[in-house]
Amino acid sequence: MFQLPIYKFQTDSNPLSSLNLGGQFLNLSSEFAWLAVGLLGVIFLIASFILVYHWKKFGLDKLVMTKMALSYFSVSAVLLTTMVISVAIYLNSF
Amino acid sequence: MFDLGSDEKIVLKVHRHKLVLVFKSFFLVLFVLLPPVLFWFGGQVGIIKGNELALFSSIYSAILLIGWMIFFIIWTDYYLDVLIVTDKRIIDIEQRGFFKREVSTVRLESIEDITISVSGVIATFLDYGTLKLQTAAENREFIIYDVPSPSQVKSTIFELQNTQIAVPKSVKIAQP
Repeated sequence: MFQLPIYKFQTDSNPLSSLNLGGQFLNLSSEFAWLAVGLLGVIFLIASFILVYHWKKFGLDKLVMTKMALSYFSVSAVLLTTMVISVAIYLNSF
Repeated sequence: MFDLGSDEKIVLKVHRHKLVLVFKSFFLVLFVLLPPVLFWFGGQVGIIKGNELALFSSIYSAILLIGWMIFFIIWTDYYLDVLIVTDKRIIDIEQRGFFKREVSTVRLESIEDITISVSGVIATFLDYGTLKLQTAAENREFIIYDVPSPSQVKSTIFELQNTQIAVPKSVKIAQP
């Protein structure tokens, strides 16, 4: 008996779903993700060293410098921690 | 940095107007606003796989951290740029980036003329402008931009200068 071939969509009904091919680009490998985190950490350390050096050597008002250093390091610590935890969760979600 | 004399007192420390800091760091708003918009757009066209929230959170934290560092670099450059008025002299410190610093000093008695100029709508309303100090030395002019309340700074310098001139100086007479 003759039967017509049945065409079946491989993707869902979303017309934009062909863009899922781009998913490869955001499917980060763990080595790359940790390398990026490490690189940002090194940049942060260098920038912090330069900033602290200038605050200590040239800062006029110690109270202002202490306040700014405190806010700089506390917010940075929160952001760094969030970033590391998020990367770990993301890499374990596959 | 700079050494103050034993009997020298700092009378005034003038930084540039805070609006300068706002203008210089305004582009950082993009660091805060752009990633959520892009993430939302990425979610719409479906180019993000896996735990989306964790991916967004990690990238957003990294971008915010970079923005935070840039803001402090701008703030340090702004804060270390300062005009110090003591009871004997004026010290102008210009921080140009991290690795270039210029410190100029002029004694109060050698100032010949002080000019202030406030131009523009924002400068008029927020009261900041340019302060020019003409000194006795040839072709020596100090120009300090975006000084808050320039007329107040000018009158303080004039008062200090008058006090300095009025103080009699001790003269040693050599005995024959």
